[in-house]
Amino acid sequence: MKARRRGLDNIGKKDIQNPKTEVVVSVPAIFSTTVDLEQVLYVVNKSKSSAAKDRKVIIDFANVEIVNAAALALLLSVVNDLNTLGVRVQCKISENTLAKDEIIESGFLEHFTNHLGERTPGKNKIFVKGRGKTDQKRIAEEIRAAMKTVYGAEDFNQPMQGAVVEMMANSVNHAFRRTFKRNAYFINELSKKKRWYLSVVHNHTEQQVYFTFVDNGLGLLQTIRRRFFGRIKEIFDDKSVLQKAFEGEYGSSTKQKERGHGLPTILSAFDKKSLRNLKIITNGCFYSFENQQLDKLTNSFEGTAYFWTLDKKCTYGNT
Amino acid sequence: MATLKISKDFTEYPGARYITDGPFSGEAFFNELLREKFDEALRANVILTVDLDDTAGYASSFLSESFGRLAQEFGVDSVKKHLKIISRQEPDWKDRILNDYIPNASKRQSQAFVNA
Repeated sequence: MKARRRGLDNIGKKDIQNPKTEVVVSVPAIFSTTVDLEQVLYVVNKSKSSAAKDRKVIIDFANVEIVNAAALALLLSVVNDLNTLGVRVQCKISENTLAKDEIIESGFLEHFTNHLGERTPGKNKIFVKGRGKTDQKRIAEEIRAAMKTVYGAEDFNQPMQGAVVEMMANSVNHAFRRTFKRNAYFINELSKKKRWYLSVVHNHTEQQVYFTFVDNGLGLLQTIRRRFFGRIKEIFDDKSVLQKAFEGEYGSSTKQKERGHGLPTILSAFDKKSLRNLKIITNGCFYSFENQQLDKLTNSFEGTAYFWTLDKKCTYGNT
Repeated sequence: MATLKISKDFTEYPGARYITDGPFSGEAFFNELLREKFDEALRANVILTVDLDDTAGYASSFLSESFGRLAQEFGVDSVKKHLKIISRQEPDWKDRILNDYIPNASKRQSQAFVNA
């Protein structure tokens, strides 16, 4: 997933119809984290910045030609958070939208009602929402189903389960703090709700399952810098900060030695090959655990999003 | 010998550290089951075997909270003497409990004492 830095002048110019009450977010032709991550983050940020009381946000998919599951999951997390904040969100899609079938199959439209109050069902109905608590039973059900898609039989995947419980716990305990920075209204209002999302998309033909875990809090990198201020020597080196945090070098903010193993548990699931293709987007950084490469993003992402794949190349936890 | 199988006696779906994090946390496991079972084992002078297998999986915070508290309350030496861990499916959990969460819990206790 290489972030493509394309000019963003072609989107957004005509977006704001009536800034007081209605905002139109135009989704670009290519809405895919693997093809053009910057465009996806532009749409996500624009949607977040639309958060205001009594506002209506229209997400316009009319021109979309290419989508992927991760991009839809990111946007859907924001849609849900906007709904939580009392913002009405509508989705506009036409018969001529080239990516219409993929959008429907993803289950994205199930989260919207048409003018008759009906929802459009999709093959993938899995979008788990957490409300300030961990929900490990529901996560286990999704992982079992994913194991069936890949290996033909339902089973636990213990390292992956442990990793997702750590992600949920991080979201609930650390991700939401009051801020005065970008998207402050959106983040500060959400800090009362502490929501997280897991999207699970099954590709039965390829026997692959794609996971996306998102919270729209402050972002992991910023949270690490806040919690371990004074212990971080590599102040300007985001890659080192992330790597050391996942390797457990900063320990716990309580300075208790037996704590601070949450992020290493996530890394451990990857190291054991219980999941693969693990990536994280947070605070202007896109980091791939596979090739240990960090790309700086033009469009920052306030929040934390993990992406990973389960398929037959995963060789652990699939007895 | 007394046994405690987490998947049967507590839950198949262990959660995170605190009760406030969500259901079936490490704190709840310690409060509702582990403390009492260990205390019974101690009084009877037998070993308590805790079997970690057959759950959906563990977060490190669940294990460090429950076994760390156990060591804090009963002392490291006592826990090492009267506790046996079974973790055939994920052997590294056993290692972490015995070599990190339990021994370092005592350091936390003495550190807190020194600071006080």
